[in-house]
Amino acid sequence: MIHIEWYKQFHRPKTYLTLGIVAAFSVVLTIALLATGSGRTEFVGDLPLLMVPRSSGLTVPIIALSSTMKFLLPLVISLFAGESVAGEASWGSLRYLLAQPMSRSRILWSKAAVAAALSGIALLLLALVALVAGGLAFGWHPLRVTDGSASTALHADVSVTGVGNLLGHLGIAVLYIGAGMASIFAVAFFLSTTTRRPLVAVAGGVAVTIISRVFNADYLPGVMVVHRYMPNNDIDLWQHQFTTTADLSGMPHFLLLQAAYFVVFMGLAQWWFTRKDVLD
Amino acid sequence: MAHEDAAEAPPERPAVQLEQLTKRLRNGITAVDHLDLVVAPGQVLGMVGPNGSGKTITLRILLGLVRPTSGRALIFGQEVHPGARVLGRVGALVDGPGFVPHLSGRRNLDLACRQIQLTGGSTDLGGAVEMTGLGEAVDRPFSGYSHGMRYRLAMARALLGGPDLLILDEPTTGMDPEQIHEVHTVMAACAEAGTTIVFSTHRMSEVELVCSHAAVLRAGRLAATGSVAELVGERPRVRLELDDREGGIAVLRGLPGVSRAIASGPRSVTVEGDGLRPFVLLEALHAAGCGVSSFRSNTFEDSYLELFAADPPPGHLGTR
Repeated sequence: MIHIEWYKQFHRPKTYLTLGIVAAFSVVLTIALLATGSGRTEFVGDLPLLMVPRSSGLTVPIIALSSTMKFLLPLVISLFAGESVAGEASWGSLRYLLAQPMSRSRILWSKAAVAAALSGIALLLLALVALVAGGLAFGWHPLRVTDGSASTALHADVSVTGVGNLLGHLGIAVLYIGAGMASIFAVAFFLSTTTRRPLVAVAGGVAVTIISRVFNADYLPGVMVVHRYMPNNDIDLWQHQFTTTADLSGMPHFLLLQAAYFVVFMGLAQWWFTRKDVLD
Repeated sequence: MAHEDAAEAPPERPAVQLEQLTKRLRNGITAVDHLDLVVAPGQVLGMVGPNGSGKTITLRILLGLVRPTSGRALIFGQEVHPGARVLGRVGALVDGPGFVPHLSGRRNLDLACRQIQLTGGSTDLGGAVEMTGLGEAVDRPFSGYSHGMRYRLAMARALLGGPDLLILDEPTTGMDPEQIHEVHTVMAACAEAGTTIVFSTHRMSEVELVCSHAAVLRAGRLAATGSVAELVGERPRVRLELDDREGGIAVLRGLPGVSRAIASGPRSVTVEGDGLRPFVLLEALHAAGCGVSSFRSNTFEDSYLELFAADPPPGHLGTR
């Protein structure tokens, strides 16, 4: 069943376009860094990290991941998850799929697996294209990072990371961000089972990131009590890998939170999809 | 030996059996209300009734798309539920064609074949394409198909697995006469091959042309069922277009075998009675100097309208 679903989803023009945009983003970013140019130190991420983008091609995937994890990537993941069931319903082919002697659970999880695979491909594509484009433009060199949040006028908190370690950190970053998108994926996927308008499901996934931003204590300290339970607020914790302290203690909590959101909303999707009457 | 085999053969199970089938929708409307219906193997049953009479919901229950609130739907003796194995013996066209728009007709059919094969069924893509006359168009993207071609492709998909039962929901909606004829030809070929067909329609002529049996639904209940011949012949009648309607009615009421002669239009008169003899009617009218511009016997549509005229349904339900 998965291969049938894969064929349908992968060959959609919308899939090519989405993956193309993701890959193009990394290329355009590299060209922009190349064109803008000087060896100036720039702020990267929310910590913030100070680095010279042109000092190593390995800065490009870091910048690419930092700048997309709060909107572009959630949008892409919402698109793949939200279109999954609702897209088929909007084509009018879902009822024929469900009129087959096959359990609805099997159909649902095949769709979820393909949507998750496409989401993973998008994330990997973003990082890999940035890695290759950055390498071609600036070469792969050790990276010198200054932790802006820990530095003062009298003290610069500087770390230098070798290429091997940087690649390892990037791998962890990709895995962490991928896992960090689980809540958005599950919400969009659940909504996809409830509507035949894919845009509603996609918008629902994006809304998760917007709501997280509204209840973000970094911008609004008064909402600290809910900050840690918002699905997208701690997506940037992977950036701590590049500081001297490398305080990664918040990551397990965030991953557990993602698992909880995933279980709840995928459970709801399963519950709804296997019970609903197909009337449209 | 043949006699022994016949004696040992299990009794043939109905292709479709509905037992007190009821579906109450979320909005409180009872779309199907304690519906009992039996369709024997090989029958072609036309399901008719006004909008909201429960035809489409009934067909969707038969396809496992909708769960009944109470009662049972059985296909070849097996109860239907979402994903039921017996659905592998069913081909369907429900609520119009639905395909992956960016793929060709052939690729869509190929995916449907693979899905049928996953559940242990066998398929005949070439046969289905040939039977529905898709021709070279089958290799074009579905998004570029005309309305008629979309329905042909949907019929092809319904036939892919060589179904024992075809469930078709208004299969000729929006088609021109030529396309309707093609669909009827396919249905007739399937029926000849022994496939049971249950389909809903608003075309009464379609029932007479294609069906062996009919079921009339009203407000989710069965209003009438039987062979088409029985339903048409239940109230023998003829309809005439007369130059002088009132004069004609007076003549007709005096004829033997005529139990009723009533005005049914500005110039038309409907005559009922046992043993009506058209020649006698026409001769009497001619003798009285009353011109007859048209004459036709009772049709299924007349019987259908008569049924509802006698006992009008309580308005439309608002859903199919």
